Amino acid sequence: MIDFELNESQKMILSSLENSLSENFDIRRENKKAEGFEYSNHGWEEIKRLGFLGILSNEENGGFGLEFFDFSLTLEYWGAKLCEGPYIENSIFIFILEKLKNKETNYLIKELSSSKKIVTSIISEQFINNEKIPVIHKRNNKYCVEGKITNLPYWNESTEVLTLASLNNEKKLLMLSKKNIDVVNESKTLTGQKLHEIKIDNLEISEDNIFKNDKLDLIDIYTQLFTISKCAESVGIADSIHKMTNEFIKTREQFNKPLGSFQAIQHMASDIYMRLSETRELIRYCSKLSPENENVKKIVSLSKIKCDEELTKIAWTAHQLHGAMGFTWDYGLHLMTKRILLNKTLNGDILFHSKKLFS
Amino acid sequence: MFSSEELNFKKELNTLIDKFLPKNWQKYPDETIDEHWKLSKIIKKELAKNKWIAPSWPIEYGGLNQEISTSIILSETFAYRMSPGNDRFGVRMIGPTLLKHGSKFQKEKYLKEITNGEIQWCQGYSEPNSGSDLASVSTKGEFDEENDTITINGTKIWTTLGHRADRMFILVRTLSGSKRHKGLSLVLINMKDPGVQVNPIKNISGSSSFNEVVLSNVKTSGKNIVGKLHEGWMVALDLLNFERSGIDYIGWGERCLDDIENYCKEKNIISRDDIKIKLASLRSSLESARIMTYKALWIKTKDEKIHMEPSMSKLLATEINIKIHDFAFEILNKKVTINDNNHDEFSKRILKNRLFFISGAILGGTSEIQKNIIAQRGLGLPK
Repeated sequence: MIDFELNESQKMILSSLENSLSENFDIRRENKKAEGFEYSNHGWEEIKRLGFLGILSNEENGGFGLEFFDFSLTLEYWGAKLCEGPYIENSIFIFILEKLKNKETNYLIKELSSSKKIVTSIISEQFINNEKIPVIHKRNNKYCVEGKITNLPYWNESTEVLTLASLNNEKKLLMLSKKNIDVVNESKTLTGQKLHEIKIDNLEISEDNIFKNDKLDLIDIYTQLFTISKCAESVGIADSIHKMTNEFIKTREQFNKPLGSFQAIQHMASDIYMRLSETRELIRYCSKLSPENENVKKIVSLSKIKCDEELTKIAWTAHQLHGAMGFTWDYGLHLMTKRILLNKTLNGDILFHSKKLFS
Repeated sequence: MFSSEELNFKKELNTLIDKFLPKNWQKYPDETIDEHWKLSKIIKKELAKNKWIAPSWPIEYGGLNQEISTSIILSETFAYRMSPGNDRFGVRMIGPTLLKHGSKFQKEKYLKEITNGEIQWCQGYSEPNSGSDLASVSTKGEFDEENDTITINGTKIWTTLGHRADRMFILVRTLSGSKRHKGLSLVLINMKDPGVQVNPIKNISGSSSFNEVVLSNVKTSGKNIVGKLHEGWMVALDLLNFERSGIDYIGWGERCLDDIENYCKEKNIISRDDIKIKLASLRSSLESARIMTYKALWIKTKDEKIHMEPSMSKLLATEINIKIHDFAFEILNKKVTINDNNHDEFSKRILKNRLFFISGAILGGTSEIQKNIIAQRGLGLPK
């Protein structure tokens, strides 16, 4: 059945989230972060305080018990306000743990939902780029892990690291406590987000830290969900760009008329909105599909291709419509453009997804 | 997106089409061709038996009162199969307009005719001097209050299927001296009435799908005014909104993309990265445009307002359909343009369709008009 309507509960959640995320949003602070003068992640404290980390965990595990689609809607708002923090990483991990329907993992879900434990991860990049991953050795009935993880975001915000690790040449999902892990290098994204390179040196782990399931390909599910989540986040950013641009051309006057009254400008603004709308609807459709749906991999790839093709176009068109104003550092449009560019480089490029579609 | 019941309907529909459509049918449905017109009539009759012509219409007017999804499946399947028999003017344009604005008489008479599969409608909007600027129509409709009749004089143009049609919905200026969108009425006329002359116009693809219709003292009853006299502009706009969605272009585009993808596989050029990227990109845009057309059709069932979704979906669907055909053209290359012994049915189809689909971005309001609508009515930008 075709239905594009959001239900009352979805509208309520989104409205409360939008209000909270709008409250302390300050473009000057984001600019300083991009320059490297300040470091804070907008929205992260609010997400924790409002209990959104449990959005995908069942009510008995202390969460909201909502669908992945609901989560994906929140990401549009999360992206729109340039929020950062391991919200996606944490939520998808909870989603997977819930899928395992394992009594032992319920305790962990509760800890993750209540932000007692917070995971960060770069699994999707490790998997898609076939990166060198940590190795698990079994010695004297004990498991030890060693290796490096690069470009890991949200080190300061998390307590645990979720990574791919190789055990007997098989890729596994492994959770490690941050304790006893050394940071060996630090870098920065173009919006000022810190990335860490960490070294795991013969760290002893329990078998409980390795997550597996005979029926479900957990790594694949994580990657699909992470990809579509970042697409939803990017759609939110593009929505902000659209709103900001529309407001600008309505009020900014040239030749004694609002810019938005010129047909050439109107057509560019229509293009922005149309490209945004079609991308958003495709991502929303994809977010409604169950990870076990036979078409989900195909639709995820089509969605990522759509995002990569359209959202950067939206950003560049918005710059053209803003003229010199959007070219400045202070105005803030550059931050949104950079976040879209950054997300574009994650989770596989157009060639990767095109090959996947025809493999 | 669709329930198992709806998918089952799609299967049954395909079985019905299989029964009548010749095997390996490679032709775009062109009801100006006698073979297609005959098929169209047979298939419409068969659809009518199942009440499938307009399944989402109320039961009393020959529908099944079903969700819009069924109508979407119907249009998309017919387009994908390139089968004649999908009634655009009756089912998707004047039908929904009458359901919303029509009198009891009009609903009883005209809606049932449509769902019986007997009557072909055509549209009388454009005029030789009124294209994108629809509010400038000058065809006159003189209303005689005493005899309750309207006498119509003027010329309509680009009238698709005008030569096949039994009836026309026509926008005329009924208030003498009125300007722009004031004083217009939407009127229903019989194409077989005295004074209607249809002159075919050959299009770029070689067929005469559209016509000029000259109206000289054509008389129709006042009962055939849709909505109020002189207040037809909003009714006419509503009709345009029903017309726009682009759903057929999705079906035609998907068929072409599937066929060209299979061609690339057969010729083993699918291994090339540039081909993979192009095919994937087209597929991605086709899917997003498809969802937009679904949304445009769905939103019309939700409230009375005129939304910008139909303008967006019409634009996106016609645009992706053209891009897909351009890619097919590029792949087939000289096979399309040189008429030799190897000029197969597929290549012929791609040529004819690519030329014909120029019209997609023009009819029902050009792409530029749609962008104006999105900007002004949707985004609130000043005129």
